[in-house]
Amino acid sequence: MEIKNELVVGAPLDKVWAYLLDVPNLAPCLPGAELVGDDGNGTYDGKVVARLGPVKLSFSGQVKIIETDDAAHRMVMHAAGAEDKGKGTADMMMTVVLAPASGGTTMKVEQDLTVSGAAAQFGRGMIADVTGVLMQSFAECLQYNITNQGSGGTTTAVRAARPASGFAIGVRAARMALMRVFARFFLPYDRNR
Amino acid sequence: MTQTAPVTPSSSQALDEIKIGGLGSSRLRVEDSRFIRGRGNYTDDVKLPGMLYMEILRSPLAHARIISIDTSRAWAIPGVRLVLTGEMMAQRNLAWMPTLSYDTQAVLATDKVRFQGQEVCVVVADDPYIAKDGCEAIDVEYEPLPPIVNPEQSAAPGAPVIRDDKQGQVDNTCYRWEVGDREATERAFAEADVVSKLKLHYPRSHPSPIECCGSVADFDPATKKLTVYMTSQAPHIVRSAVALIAELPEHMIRIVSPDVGGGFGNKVPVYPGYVHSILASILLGKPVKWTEDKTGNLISTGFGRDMYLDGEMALRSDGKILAVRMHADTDQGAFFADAQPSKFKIGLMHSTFACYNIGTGYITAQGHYTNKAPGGVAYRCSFRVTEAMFFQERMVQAAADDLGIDQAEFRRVNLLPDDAFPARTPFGFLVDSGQYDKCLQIGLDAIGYEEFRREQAAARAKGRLLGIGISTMTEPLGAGNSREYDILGIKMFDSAELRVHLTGKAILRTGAKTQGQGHETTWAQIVSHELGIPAADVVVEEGDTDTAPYGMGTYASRSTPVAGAAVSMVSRKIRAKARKIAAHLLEVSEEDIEWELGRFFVRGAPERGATIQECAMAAYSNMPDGMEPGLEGNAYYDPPNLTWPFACYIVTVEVDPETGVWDVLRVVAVDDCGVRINPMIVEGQIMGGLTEAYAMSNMQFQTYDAEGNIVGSNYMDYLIPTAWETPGFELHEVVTPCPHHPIGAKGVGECAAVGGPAAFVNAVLDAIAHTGVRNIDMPVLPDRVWTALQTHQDVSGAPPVRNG
Repeated sequence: MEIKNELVVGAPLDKVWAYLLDVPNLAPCLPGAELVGDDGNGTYDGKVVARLGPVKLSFSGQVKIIETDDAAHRMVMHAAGAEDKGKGTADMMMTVVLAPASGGTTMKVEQDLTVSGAAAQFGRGMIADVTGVLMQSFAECLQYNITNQGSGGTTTAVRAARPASGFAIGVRAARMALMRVFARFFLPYDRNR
Repeated sequence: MTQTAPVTPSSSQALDEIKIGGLGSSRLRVEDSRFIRGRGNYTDDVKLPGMLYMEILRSPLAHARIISIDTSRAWAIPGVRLVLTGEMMAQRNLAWMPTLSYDTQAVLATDKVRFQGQEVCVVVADDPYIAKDGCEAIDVEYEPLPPIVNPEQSAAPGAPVIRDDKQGQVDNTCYRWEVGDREATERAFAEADVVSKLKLHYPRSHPSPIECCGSVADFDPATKKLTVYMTSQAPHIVRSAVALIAELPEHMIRIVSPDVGGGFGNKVPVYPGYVHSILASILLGKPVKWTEDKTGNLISTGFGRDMYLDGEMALRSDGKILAVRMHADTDQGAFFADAQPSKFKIGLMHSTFACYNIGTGYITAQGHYTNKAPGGVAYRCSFRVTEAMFFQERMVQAAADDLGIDQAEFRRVNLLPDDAFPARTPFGFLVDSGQYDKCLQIGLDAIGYEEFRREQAAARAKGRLLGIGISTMTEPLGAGNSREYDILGIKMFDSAELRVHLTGKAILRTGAKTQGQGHETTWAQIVSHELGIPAADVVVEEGDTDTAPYGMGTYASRSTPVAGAAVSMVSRKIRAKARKIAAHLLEVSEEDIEWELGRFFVRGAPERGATIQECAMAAYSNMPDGMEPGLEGNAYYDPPNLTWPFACYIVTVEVDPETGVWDVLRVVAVDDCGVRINPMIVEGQIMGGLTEAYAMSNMQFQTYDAEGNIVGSNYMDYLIPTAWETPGFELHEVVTPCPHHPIGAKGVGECAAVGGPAAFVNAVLDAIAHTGVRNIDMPVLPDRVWTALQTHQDVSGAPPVRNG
């Protein structure tokens, strides 16, 4: 499943890029994510807790930065994990490309996600919407942290994203779905919407 | 029935058959009283002292090698009594079990998992929640393998071999099969004016009964008797299978099928879960209950269809069909576990075109192993008859369009005429009877065919898309004659045992098993028809192998054709004995006794008579010298042929050109199922079948993504129509009695589900005929119609499902 999101972070490109490469610093901004290990070679052990509809899933796995291109501001990450109660597995190849934009930085995120088990069975229709919510939350967190650092804050003041609560995700995903339906009915056709 | 009507020499004293609830009476269903009051007794209602609960751990992956299984954390949970793994099963030689299609199926996975949802471990605990926790505490390490979700991937060179457990299995071919006359078919195609071709996929569908599968196994270590309460449509087959496979003595096995909350073929196979609960009970010496959840039911138990067709028809320009050639690819899932008793690998697929005069034909088929759930051919269908008739009617529509001949006229030209019966089909079936033209005409008149065509043209001029679809078919119901059917070598007869008590009340037991069809109502009506005992005085009992006579169960619309015939035959045996008693009571010789409904009388002196109730009393209190007391008997009925009901379904629809959404305008159904025992129940069966036909054509299917994840594992994704979506139905009736059935009845339960889908799909394709699109795979979802309207191309629905 391919999921594409485009976000705008209200911070300069260089700062966002630097922040992105610092995985231990970044992790708290990923909703529900927790970093538990670092082998020092760009591979990290982590946990992600998420609710997809009726199922609560907690994945344990590894994240590895596969490729970074400083000139193009392009980064490729691979994450793979298994659900702790045997409910399924997930495997994601994520490509992030940064570009300058008015008032900050545009962040293009492409995720190629493969899920199996309960997550795939129950969450199929929701995964794209839920991921959209998570990415939005990620961008807000990123902007907050970068802005605070810039104004003299310390790394200890890193703000963590709230864990991915089922209800909040549900409400926001539902809102996105409703807006999409509204757009379908009342707005001109846009294939990227 | 001791009241006496006024006696006049000319008037008969026969009972009014409708009043006593006999044949043709729309008697209210006696079982409904307990069902609608919540007093049914289902398997999950069975609670035994000291009972433990079982839960199954299922595979999250479609295809993967098992590296390790660690159950230590599960064993440590207080309340967990037993954790079974494939390895433990293998030690008892129970890791694999035979299927009814002469393949093997994993009871618990040992080497690999082969579909998502496959049984990997089993936990037995003090309560179901602890058992569930136990399953979550099992650590299984998998090494993923590439999944296969359709026959094309399965047959591709270099595809991973799914069944590497089977010796000599070098690819994913499950079987190859052919029937018909290839040379004659090739000659006919060479002579054809027009060859019409069509490619189709009939999607995977699941019966999805309200009650999921389950069992309560109770092995008594003291008596060594095994009692299993289970959701089975065929309890005797399960008893024999357990005896033959597990080598337990058959007299020490009792299978009880209590009330069954819907079957539709889903509850014919023997599932691993039943075997787990039996083994767990034997190991623990306590009753063990297994109740499947809805997702478990949808992802692992018997499905229907999933078949691909390449069809060709050789046609003469005047509309005559010269020959039919078909190739079918079936997606069998990971194990060839078709629960079907015919001697043909592809079931009754070759009953296709049985109602048409097609000259000659040739069918080839290939089965494919895939990483999907096993156990096909279920779902309100006599073993692939549904696909056969759907393909037939879709091909007929395409052929008529290719020839430029009207749909109805093309059928009229090729349908078998009334004087053709019994008719032998090119594939070997013997069709018993029918009045096809009459049925078609009643349907066309009811829908107002000519007028609709005019309306359709007028609407088209305004940009509105109206369409009409026809489906006419006969199908073989009532497995079956011993020449063509057996299960594990056992012939497909059925049985009935009738005991008339001294007060004239009776108990009837049969080897069939009702799952909602209303046997408790209709069987009593047959007894009433044959003996004149009011239906309300007959109680019907089924499903307990310790008390019921040996029978093959209920599926494939076989109850009425086989068990119903046995009920009729046993009643006639009882009547024959009662006639001797009547002669004794009336002090005349047996030859001077005449029968009218409910009563024997002396020929020439009709006022001198004895009711059946008086004969019953005499059978226990005043029998003739030398006669064995009692009034009871049993009958085993081996049908000489299948029964061949005919049906004509006509549907009109309107398609929204902007969105592809289609609405059903009218549905007309003309059914000829021979003599109707209870017209109300028959109509209920037809409406139920039409609802499922609408469901399959419109929304209900299971598919898989490229990773082998099932889409349709829950009711958010597996859509079932509610009363809101379901259109209204107009039912019509034609009666052509079955020539070889004791009361002239034919099977009916499946007709509408078998013949209906093609009518809906044909109607939608008729509405968009201007696009030149020949096929949209079922379900005809709005996005598929929209795509067809935009691209003017056929739309495939074959898995894997597209992203998004």
